Amino acid sequence: MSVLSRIETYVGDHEVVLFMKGTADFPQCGFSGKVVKILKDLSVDFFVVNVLDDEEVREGVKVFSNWPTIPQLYVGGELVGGCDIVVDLFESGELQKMLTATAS
Amino acid sequence: MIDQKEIITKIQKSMPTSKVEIESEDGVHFFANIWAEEFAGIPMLAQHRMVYDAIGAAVGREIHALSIKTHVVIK
Repeated sequence: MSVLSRIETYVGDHEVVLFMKGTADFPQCGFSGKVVKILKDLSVDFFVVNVLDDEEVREGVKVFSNWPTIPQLYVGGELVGGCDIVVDLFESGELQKMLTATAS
Repeated sequence: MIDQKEIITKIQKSMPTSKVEIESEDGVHFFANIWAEEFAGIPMLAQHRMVYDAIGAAVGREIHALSIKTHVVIK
């Protein structure tokens, strides 16, 4: 299976997917950690892909989404954005709306 | 190492109306505030993509992280 179809499966099979450096319990980068904290604060279940364990996905996801950095948050199969956008959406309440919309 | 002037030049080449303020404490993590007419009517995610595309391959390499705040300028 090509890396792009692997990524497609991750994104398609789970409502909320976070490609990050490290794990939810041990984020290895400040930006990834910030997104994890927001998702935990919202008590959202999310599927984590630790790109540090998978070099192919680490580069492949940037091609997949045409977004050059990690972390990348996906909700309902769509790229929401990186750390800045997730923080902005969280502060404006927009992220909460997106999460409840796809959950129902 | 990439310097801030180079980043600003790249952004302004692809977004001529943009005004860019950029900071960095360590030369690899950057924070940019960008005002541009080109952002008008474009969703935030696409605005950020425009900036990343303008800067090109340096993002994710010499530029470890680039935090972006975009502001729409209405003509």
